[in-house]
Amino acid sequence: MKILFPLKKLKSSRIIAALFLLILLFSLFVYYYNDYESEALYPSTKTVLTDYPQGKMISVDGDVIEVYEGGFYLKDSYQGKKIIYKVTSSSKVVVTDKVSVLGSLGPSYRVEASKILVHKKWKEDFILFRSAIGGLFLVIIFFVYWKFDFKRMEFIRRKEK
Amino acid sequence: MPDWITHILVAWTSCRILGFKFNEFDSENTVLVMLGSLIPDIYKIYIPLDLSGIYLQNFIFPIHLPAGSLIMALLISLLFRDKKIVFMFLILGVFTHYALDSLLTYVSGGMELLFPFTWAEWQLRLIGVDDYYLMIVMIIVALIVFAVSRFKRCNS
Repeated sequence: MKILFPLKKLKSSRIIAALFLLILLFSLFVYYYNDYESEALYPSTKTVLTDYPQGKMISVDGDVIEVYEGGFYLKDSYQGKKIIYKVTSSSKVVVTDKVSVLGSLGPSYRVEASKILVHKKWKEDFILFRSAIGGLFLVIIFFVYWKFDFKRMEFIRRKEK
Repeated sequence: MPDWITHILVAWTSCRILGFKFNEFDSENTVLVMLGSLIPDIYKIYIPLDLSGIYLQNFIFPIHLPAGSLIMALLISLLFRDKKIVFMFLILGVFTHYALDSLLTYVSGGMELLFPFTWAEWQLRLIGVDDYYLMIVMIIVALIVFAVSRFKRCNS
């Protein structure tokens, strides 16, 4: 089959090694995904959605969508399911801030915050912007020094030592 | 997390400093270390996936843990001729990434650096996740190292 043609150029040992590593990585993904919530110091929105650990400390992140006297509303989501927490806190935040909250979960998604980290939206956007520039720069500089050898299906130095 | 410019600058600066002593840190290998410094952030692919309704953030998160990054570095090194050497330089880049990320402040816990052997979390609480001063500091350090390396080259 034509689609398999490039694979013929790969040594079978490389394919076997790649498959082994992919299986290993996937196992790591599955193990982490199944256990991270139960092993975490504090439950997150995932547990709030399933078990609602009222009275326990939780650790959640999200966007501030409304500010009121003595607190703010925080929107978090897990797998597309959105939750709006009513956070009681004296910290100064504004709408669109991204906030990490450690606090006690009360009824009706109320959280009594004991620790808060506030990230300004423009700072978050600035990180993405800088990262995009950094990523683009790396791609360019990489292909200045390395090229892909299609005959052997591998990257080689442009200038051999 | 520090931005990619900061990660790349830390990797480049480390290589230039090590290059004063070791000839192995040539331009090609320095690029590999810079590439390695971004391997843990491959997991950020979840951001565009999230926008298209595919929620994989928590599933692929181990890429942003040393064990996952190590496997990713091994996978990437398979695409090169000198696999062992490439892997060593990629891993050096990965190390610079975690050295930088361990300085961050999290609201609770930290990074599970020894996963899957232990779920213990660490953080040094030295800089904020969205801190851009670190990038400015790294630009200055990189410029100094660049000037010194030019000076050394001119004198030799």
